[in-house]
Amino acid sequence: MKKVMLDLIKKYKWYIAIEMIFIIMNIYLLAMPSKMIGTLINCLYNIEANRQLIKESLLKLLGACIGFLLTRIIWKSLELKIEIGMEKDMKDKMFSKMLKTKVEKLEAIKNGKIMAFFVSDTKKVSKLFSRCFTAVVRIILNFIIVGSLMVQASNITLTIGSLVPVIITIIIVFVSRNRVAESFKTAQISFTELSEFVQESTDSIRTMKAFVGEENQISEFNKKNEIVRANNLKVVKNQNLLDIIINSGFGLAYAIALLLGSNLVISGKMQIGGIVAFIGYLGVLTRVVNWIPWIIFRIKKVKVSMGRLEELISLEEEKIEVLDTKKYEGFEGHIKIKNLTYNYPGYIERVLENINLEIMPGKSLGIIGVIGSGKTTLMNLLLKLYDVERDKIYIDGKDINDIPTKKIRDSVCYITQDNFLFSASLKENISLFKDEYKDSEVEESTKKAMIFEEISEMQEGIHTIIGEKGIDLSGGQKQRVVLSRAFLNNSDIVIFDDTFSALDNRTEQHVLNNIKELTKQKTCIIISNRISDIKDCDEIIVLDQGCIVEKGNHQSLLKEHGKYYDFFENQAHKAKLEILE
Amino acid sequence: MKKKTTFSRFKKMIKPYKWTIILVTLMALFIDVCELVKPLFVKEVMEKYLPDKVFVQNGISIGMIFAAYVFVVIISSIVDYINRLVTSKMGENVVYTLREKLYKYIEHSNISFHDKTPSGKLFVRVVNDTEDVYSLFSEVITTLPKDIMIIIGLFSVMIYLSIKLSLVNLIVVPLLLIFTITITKAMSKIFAKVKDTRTILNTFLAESIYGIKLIKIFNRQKEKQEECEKYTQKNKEAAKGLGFLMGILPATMDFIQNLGTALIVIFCANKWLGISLDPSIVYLFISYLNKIFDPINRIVENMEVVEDAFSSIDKIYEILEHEEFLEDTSSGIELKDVKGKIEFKHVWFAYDKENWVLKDVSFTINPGESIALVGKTGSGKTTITNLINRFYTIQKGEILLDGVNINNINLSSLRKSIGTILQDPFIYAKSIKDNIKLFEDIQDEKINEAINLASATEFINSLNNGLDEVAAERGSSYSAGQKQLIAFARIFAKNPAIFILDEATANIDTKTESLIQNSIDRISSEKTSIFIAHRLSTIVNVDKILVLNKGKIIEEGNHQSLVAKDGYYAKLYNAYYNSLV
Repeated sequence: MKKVMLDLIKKYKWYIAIEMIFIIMNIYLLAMPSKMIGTLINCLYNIEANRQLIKESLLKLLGACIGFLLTRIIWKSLELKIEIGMEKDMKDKMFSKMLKTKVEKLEAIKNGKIMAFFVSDTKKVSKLFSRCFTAVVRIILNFIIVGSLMVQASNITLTIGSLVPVIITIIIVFVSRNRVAESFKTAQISFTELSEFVQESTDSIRTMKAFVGEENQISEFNKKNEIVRANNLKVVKNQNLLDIIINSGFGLAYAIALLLGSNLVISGKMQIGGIVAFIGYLGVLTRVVNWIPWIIFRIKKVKVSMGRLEELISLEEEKIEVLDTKKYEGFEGHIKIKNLTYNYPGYIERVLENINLEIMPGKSLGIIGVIGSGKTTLMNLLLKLYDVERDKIYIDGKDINDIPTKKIRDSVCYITQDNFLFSASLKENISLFKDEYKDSEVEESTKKAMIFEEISEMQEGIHTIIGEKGIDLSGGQKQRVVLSRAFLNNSDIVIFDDTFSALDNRTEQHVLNNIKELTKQKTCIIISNRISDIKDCDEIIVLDQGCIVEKGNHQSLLKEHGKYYDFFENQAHKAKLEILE
Repeated sequence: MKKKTTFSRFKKMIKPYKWTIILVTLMALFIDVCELVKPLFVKEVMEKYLPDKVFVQNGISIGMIFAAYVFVVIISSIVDYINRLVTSKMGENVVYTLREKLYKYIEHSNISFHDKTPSGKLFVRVVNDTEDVYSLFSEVITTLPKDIMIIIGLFSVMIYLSIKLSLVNLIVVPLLLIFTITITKAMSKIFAKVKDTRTILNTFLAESIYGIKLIKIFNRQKEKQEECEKYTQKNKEAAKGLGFLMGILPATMDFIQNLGTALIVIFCANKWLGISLDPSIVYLFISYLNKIFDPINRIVENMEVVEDAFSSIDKIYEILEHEEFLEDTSSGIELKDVKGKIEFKHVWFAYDKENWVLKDVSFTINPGESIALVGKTGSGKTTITNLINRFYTIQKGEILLDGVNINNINLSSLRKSIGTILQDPFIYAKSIKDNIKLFEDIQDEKINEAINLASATEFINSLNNGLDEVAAERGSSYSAGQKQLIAFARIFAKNPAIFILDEATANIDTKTESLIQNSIDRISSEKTSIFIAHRLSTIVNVDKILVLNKGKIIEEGNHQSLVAKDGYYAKLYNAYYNSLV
């Protein structure tokens, strides 16, 4: 993470350098008017003698103001440029990191969490490196520049004397920072608890009503509501306490400055305008010190964000080998699995146990089993989405650990069960953003997936935008769009993972026939819960709790009167219930 | 007109705090007076002590004057602290009450209300909109009265000091207002643009995270990375000009402030308009002028907070003011020792007006009888179970429980006598034990007994912490079957007179399925029970089957009699039977 941040900063080092120069100029120009006003007040005691000086000072005042305006615009623009640039760079970088990260590592983190990292944390971190950073620099520079102007306007004793309360104030603010941050954190946590409770309540109205839980829930809610109120008040107390400490500290500083300054004036070592200027300088510092609690709070928050980004950035990456693309060789399609046992990293429970399988080139395999029986996991292993031990899975006689990941994924077309579509055009969704396909090719694939007619009725055809930004497709339509991918992709092994569940019987039969046509020369795996999808496969296995419990073809499995037969009987019954509907 | 109702809603909200508001206003007045007095100390010294170079005048030393100054600063800080605390507390109380009312409303409103109001919307009302209202108090009401009064005070004092000079400075104020408002508007335009592009980017990111496996399977990392950079770039470009505006806004404030100072000096130095003032008065004038900028700026900034808060208040009250959706859970006949006889007499029901979902439905279920509802989706099966729970009120006919019209029965006691299991039971993020107890105080012994009856012992023992295991949000870590087991345990612990069960159709592994069947058999043989049946085994065993079609009961009888009748049901059963032969 540190290295990532350093790289980012390096990119902007010149911007930062220029920004610093303008900040220094800006602080000086901000303090200058105080001096001018002091001089002008002095002059007013004897206007006639000082006409020239008044004119000069007014011009200087005006000049300082314009200079201040310009420098401020420049450094603020630079600051924002760095901030926004960093945010973009960081997002790009995190995205590419995600694309490289192992699927099993990503699956261990919830999607919502990854999104939170992305959306708010990158923003917070980039803000730290621009706004908080410049704020800290400005505080320090202000003290140096304004401090020396103070000495110049008066003397060291006056400067130090009046700054003592200011410095004590800052120390108190620093000492109490953890208390404030802590109260913020507790308030945040109790608020999150409250909102989670509300979320659950609004989601569970029916259950709550059926069980007459109204009063119980309301009293539980009020308890949480009360905690939120109490914790928020603590935050308000702590925050405002800091404010009065700062206010009183500066009040004392003003009084000391005025007292010591009056002494100097009376003893003739300083003019009245000197006091006015000095008070002006103190005013500049007041503004600056008021930022300190804000910055402390921000930095605390950013630390949390950094930690979370660190968690993401340190995730293990996939090994993606560089391929010699000119010499592309496909697979024959011979798959062999030997004594494969698998459990998710960090879990003891086995998802797959002692799987032995062999699929000959050009043959088809059907897999049936309930949710959680390990079907999808087996496919994820085959596509190297999860790590697999050596000597377990072979394609064309080669251990898949020795086959480049890219090659496997290029030559195996795996249609997943989640019907996932991007908010993009139909063509992009089928070609998956690869430009090399012609419209006619994509249309041909939609014909095979039995969705062509519906698409050609849409005004834009395959260029119709779908999803959040476009039209909504039904579940069955989505599934057929997804299936089109298989007909477009030129691969040697095709896998369909429960991809027919939303199709009606007739469409399903058409698609299955087209798949048969497509996979005449290819190895094909069909995963389904429906007997009708897999009954024609050369071989069928039944998976249950990670084990192959039955193996054979449709006829032989029916005769066994085992699990496969149960599936068959159950589905026959359901089909009949449908008649009634 | 609309604004007026909003304001009257707001007035209603703060009515209980009348005295607090008066107190807060008085405190604000005191703070403002202190603020006006502070520069007077400096002026006093500059006018009477410094020109004469004396330390003591009329027995009062400079030291005493500044001691008084420090005293005023500290006192006003303390009053300010109390003021903010009291106002924040008022804000917290208002929000607390608002949340309490909203939550109560949500819990007590009927199912019709929840059918038409998405739960996400309710969540936002309780959690986010109330936060907006809180901001109104913590940011606006803590400062607004103070700011308005100080602006009036500053102007009055300045006019008192010199009407002419005040008029000169009045030119500056409108300039400032126009400028601030223009810049703020331009800024919110850019913010809106940034927000839009960010939303697009976030949608893309969320989608990509969701579809990451797909991207990997098809080797589309490069394409997606390019797309990501396209969106981040757009987001970056949208913020163009923001730095300039953010730089110019505060800088121009300083600029105009100094311009005002310059004007004062020029007029005094040249005695224009016959203005001739002591330098100490000029200083005082400058000090007052400088104090006017912050409050004006704050008021402009706060306009947005007020707008947000008022629109949130409207949204909240639009819910609260609809009392017709509230259920009456307190009045009505309390049921004791329910036998469980249910009668539907010519029941007509529609969710909205004339679209009858049930048409003249009549049937009787005797105590201890079990019935199955069979029919296609939309035939009215679920509606019947909802009506027994009185989730909706029927339009015509009557529903009787033990001979009493359910409209006259106390709602809580009615629902307590019915146990409903939904297809996808809601599991709370609480311990399994609390999930089984669900809003009631049930002894451990009874819970264990219920678990035994539900055949859930093995499942619960397999959990790391057994009964104390805390379920994930919405029970997401459990399978559909496991959730059903918990739901059955819940029902057995409650032990109601009537059971209603919507059988799960989801994928349930064979082992759990047989456990669930045990529970179903147990219930149907002992209790008055109603099944929305999907399993043939359930249908065959019940005492009576009601076959529904388009809101009407078309056949009624037990399995044997219906088969013998050779009607709709027989057709179904024979088709199923034939498929097995």
